Amino acid sequence: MNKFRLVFKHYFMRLMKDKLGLALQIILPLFIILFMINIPDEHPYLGQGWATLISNYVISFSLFGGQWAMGYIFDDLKETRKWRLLATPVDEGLFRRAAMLASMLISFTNSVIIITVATIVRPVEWNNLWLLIGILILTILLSHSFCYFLTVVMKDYKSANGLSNFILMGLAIIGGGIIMGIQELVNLDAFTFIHD
Amino acid sequence: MIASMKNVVKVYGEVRALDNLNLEIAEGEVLGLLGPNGSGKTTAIHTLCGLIEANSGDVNVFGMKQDIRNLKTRQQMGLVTQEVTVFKDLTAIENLRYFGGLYGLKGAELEANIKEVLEFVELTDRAHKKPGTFSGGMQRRLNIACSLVHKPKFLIMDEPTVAIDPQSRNHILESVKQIAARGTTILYTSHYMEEVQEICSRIVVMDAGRAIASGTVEELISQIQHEETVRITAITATDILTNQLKAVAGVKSVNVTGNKYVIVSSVGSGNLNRILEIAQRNGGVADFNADKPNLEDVFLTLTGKKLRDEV
Repeated sequence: MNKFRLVFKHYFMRLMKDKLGLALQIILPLFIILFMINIPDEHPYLGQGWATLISNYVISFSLFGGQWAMGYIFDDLKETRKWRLLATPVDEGLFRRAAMLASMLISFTNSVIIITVATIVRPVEWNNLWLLIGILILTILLSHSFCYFLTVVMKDYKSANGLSNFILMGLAIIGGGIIMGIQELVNLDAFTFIHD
Repeated sequence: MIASMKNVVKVYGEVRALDNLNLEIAEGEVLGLLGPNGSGKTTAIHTLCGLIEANSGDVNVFGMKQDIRNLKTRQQMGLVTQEVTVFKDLTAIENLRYFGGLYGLKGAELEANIKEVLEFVELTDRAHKKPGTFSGGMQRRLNIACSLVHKPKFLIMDEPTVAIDPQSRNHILESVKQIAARGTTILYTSHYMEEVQEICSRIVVMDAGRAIASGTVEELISQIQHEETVRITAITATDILTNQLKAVAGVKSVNVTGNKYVIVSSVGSGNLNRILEIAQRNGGVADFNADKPNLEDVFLTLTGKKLRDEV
């Protein structure tokens, strides 16, 4: 078996078995969307309708997807299993890339599940769902690239996790505003996926 | 020669972890690397595996220059780490499949090797259980199995018996002997001299990043042994016995306290039987004991330190 496929499959399996990680990535946002928020049709929440609100949650949670894989990479390549895995005839970068790709795929799948469930349960009208998917892919790419970078330059997980929490949390907070701002500033059909 | 290190220096800040280390490992031998914590054993192993780059010196494995970019040498090497490094979220068999796969094994060959190593470490009945449910000794055995699944030619074991029960330790030591009997070259590090004494065909004593002595157990002991001491408790102490013992060729001194005799002879004088015979003839022997130096004494003599000072 191709070594990249083997390592990719390995991380994919481990991530899928990680109940806490899955709960934070999929159960928590779904719980918030399904049970904790409600918008009366005639009074949009802070000017946001269902589509915008759900988009914000999905994108914000997907921002943290990279951190999930980062934890695994630090444990395997910088801490617990460092010497054991580096003693194998496999390039260190391959482990990183495979873990990140597996995590990206799971993050994307989780986001699609959230969007699907939310669409069924909540009265969402997506005007341009592909744009949301596009932004989602970019967000997942950004998050994983940033966390990949941290696995290369940072020495310990605690510092890397602290730094990524600070930056990704900041991005998540700003993220919602950016989407709203674009909608206000650019009156293009492409951005009218937030249709309420 | 399967591996060698020549004048290898590795410096961490102001600490010389390896200080012109010279080491040669012949094919098929079980070489014990003996030294206290901090003597440089693990750094030596990591350098030999190409996990860290030496500041200077030559490291060769399988006739190739070893460094952090050389993945070819790793293909036929196995490393058993000091800590248990198996994946706790995978079952024993999933761990073995993964590690085997990393060395390029697949299909029937991989499954056959897995079956073999599971039997070897006596974990067949635990194959589908996660290591978290194993005892410390069983986890160590799985750790070893993961390093053996690809059948390495050169196996490096870094203190594999640390913090485990005596039963598991004995099992691991027996396993090492069996692996060696199959022709695998083994580099075994420990600060337990009795382990090294039991399983290694040759020993290198390390201290402060240097190899300070090497040889078989007997050769190392002979390097420090200049006298032989025999202790006898006589049933009846007599002047005749004392005088006759003093008259034995090679006896340097006879000290008597009550009915206890301490007889010091030159090394290799071979007069142990003669001393016993004289003691039996002159009053009888209640107790007898001949002091024999061990590796701990070798280490103490060579370095002025005890092997387990820091343990």
